[in-house]
Amino acid sequence: MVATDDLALIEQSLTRFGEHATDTLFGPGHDRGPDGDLDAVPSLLGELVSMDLVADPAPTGVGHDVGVWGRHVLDDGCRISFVALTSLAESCAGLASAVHAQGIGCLALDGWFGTVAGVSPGQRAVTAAVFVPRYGVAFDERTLRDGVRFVPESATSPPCVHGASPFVWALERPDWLVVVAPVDSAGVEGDAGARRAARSEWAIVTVPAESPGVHIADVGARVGIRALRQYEVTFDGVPAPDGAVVAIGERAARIATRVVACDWLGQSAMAVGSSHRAVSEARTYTEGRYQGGQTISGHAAVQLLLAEADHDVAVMNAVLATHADEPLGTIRDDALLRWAISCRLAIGEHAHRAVTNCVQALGGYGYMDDFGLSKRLRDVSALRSRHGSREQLLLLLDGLDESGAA
Amino acid sequence: MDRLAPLGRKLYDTRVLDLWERDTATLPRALRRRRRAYREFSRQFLSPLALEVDADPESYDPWPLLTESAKRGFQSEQLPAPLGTMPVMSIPTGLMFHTALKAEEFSAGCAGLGLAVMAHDLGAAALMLSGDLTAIRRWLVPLCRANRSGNPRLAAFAITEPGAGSDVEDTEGAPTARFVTTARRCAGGYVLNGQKIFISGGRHAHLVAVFAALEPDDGRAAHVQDDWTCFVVERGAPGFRTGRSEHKLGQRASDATELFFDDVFVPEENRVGAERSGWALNRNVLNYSRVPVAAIALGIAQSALEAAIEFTRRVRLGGRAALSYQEVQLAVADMWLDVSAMRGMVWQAARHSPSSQGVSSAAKAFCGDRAFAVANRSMDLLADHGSLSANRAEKAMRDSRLNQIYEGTNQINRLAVIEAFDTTDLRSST
Ligand SMILES: Cc1cc2nc3c(=O)[nH]c(=O)nc-3n(C[C@H](O)[C@H](O)[C@H](O)COP(=O)(O)OP(=O)(O)OC[C@H]3O[C@@H](n4cnc5c(N)ncnc54)[C@H](O)[C@@H]3O)c2cc1C
Repeated sequence: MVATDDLALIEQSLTRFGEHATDTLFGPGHDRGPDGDLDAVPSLLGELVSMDLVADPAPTGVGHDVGVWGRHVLDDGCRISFVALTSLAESCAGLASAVHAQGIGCLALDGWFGTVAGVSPGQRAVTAAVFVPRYGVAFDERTLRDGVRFVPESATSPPCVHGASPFVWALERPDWLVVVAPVDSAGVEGDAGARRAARSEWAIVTVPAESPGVHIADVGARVGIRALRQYEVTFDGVPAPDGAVVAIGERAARIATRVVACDWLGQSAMAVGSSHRAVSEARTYTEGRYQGGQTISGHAAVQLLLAEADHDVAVMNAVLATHADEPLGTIRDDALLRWAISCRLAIGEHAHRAVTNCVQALGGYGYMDDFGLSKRLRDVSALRSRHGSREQLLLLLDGLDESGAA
Repeated sequence: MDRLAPLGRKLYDTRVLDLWERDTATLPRALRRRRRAYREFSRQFLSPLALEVDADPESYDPWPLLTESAKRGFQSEQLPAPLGTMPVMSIPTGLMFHTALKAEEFSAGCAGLGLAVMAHDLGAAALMLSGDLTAIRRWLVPLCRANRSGNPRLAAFAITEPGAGSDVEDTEGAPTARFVTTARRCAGGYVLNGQKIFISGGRHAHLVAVFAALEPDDGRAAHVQDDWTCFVVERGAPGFRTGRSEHKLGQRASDATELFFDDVFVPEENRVGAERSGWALNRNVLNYSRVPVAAIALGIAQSALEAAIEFTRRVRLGGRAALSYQEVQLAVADMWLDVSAMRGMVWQAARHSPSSQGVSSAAKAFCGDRAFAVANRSMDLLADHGSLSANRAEKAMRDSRLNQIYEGTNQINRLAVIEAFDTTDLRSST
């Protein structure tokens, strides 16, 4: 649990940074597309690094502990990461997603740090976690052979990483790839019907991005969070020597659970930020726009839209708060996943509705890029699409132990 | 099947037909033919361009598409042959059904390109629905003639102003509308001043049906509902210019453009209908146009459904097509039900001739909302892939969002339903 004073301090500095980021990305005098001045993103990320908000894979880096999804979450809980992501997403969900992606990459390393070719000591390394299957959610046994997998040593070949993940998020083009993958072994394959077995055989492997057999390609045009880099990564039997394996078996499965859960939790936190700001922007607008002989904030039709949006943000906040102050290391796997899935589902059900209601409150102006709400709708749609359809999430939820026992 | 009695077998539909063909088979012959032609055009010319133009609408030149559409007779359907291209056989079913089918099929290919082609129908509707034969002869007949010969000439419809959006779509708001576009009588005609915004097709239109408040003779303040008058303003008229075209979330291939009027002289013969008849004409146009707008939503929903089906058949999960799993089938079926319900509503509304406020507004609001829901469901089903533009679901989401806003927001349309039924159903039941 984090001291209230510390939190207040972090919130203050984030608010200041948020104003500056908003001005830099969307203010007058900048070359803005619908996503703001994307050329300004690297320098803003640099500022966030110097604020120690960006996680650092090296244990010597301050961000390693205190950054978003840094190691403090194991003892302090997720609250600080939520506050940071929510606040950053109020200015730009893409910028927040970049910080989030780096954090998730570091979380997957679980404190491990080796020597990577091309990264000198003290130089910031960019980590990307590779854990999303080609289609479907991790831990669904059907996806085990469809995405990236770790192939253990056999009589004929050394251990290697194989397969493709089309949706790898990163702050910049990554130096490291942290592969969070099921182990491709006969035991897992044959274990049809036992959903939980899919969660016991995992491996976490680090792969330098420049390794032979690693192909990194941009995914192409996409709906939103465009300040974030998104890659399709293919591993063509990339060797994974002993020194590259962070964890395997039960420990790896725990890390995998944490990574997947925190990814969903982070998306929810960003969706809260984006929708919360959308509501305040829409309120301001409706108080100055006249139609029907009064400001539109006086019409029940508009009041209903914004009240529902307020309610949606409150629900999101409440779901997100469930275990926010519990040390991540003490939350049992099933409970963590249950929480994360509920949060992720709430993006589609609540954050998305909140933002679309705000667009509606602005009428035609809400549809135009100048007013910023159309970008928020695109961003929250992208967050809502991340890693698994609604049905797949519900099926995963159904398979979890209700008591929260691992 | 074989066990049924012969008559029972006759009553059992065993044709192997997809739903589109089944639906088409229920239409009168002329409409069946037209629906096929619209779909073929959409697949050949709109769909292949959709993603490219969506990504960079500024560099897109719409004239080749408009020319092709004109050549096929799709820009001149306001009048029956020989003046226009509406088949004489179709007169009994009315123009509305044609326009609705066209909107559905074009939007299934690309709602933005569809709107770029069909914004003209809205402008032309103001001329046609005025019932003013002089205006029809003077403006609509030459438009149809040019379009028929493959030389596209376009109209646009301009009511919205910076300070008056919902107010010019709604009876309640009209008395207090903060409009700026006015007309003053002068020798031989009128002088127009003011501004319109968000005008679909405004960037390229050869003529615009502009609604302006005519200065009252008795010194009272002008009002939209009492003084609006419709004028045709031609491109190139001194004092008339277009401003910026908006950067918008979706339907990006179609422009939404500002129009400025600085002391524009409009000759008497450019007036459409009687002086101060503009509000009634506007309402008539909206009652008519809200059905095709509902059909645009339907087309977008259809495209979102197709994107989901195409994707879930192609993508493999555990060695099988995703569509073979029950949870995916249930989601796709939900979308299918929505699209079928929308089609039922649009086609039913299209049968109302002349169109009626309650029916049109209900279809517009329902289909706008359901299209957005279907597009979101499609995106969701595709999961991460849903956010990639190449898979088209996200485009459907962005495109369909507009259908809850233009042609009156869905809130205003719901209020219009109540207003309409208040004079009929609600009154008679009390
Ligand atoms: C892409 C695009 C294309 C368009 N094309 C055309 C065109 O070709 N020609 C044309 O003339 N116009 C066009 N429009 C304008 C369109 O019809 C208006 O945007 C729409 O009617 C809403 O008006 P507004 O944008 O001013 O929103 P507002 O009227 O400001 O509405 C804002 C919010 O207030 C609510 N509201 C307003 N008044 C009331 C009330 N009295 N009671 C309850 N709630 C109320 C609305 O429902 C909405 O939620 C287009 C718009 C867009 C976005």
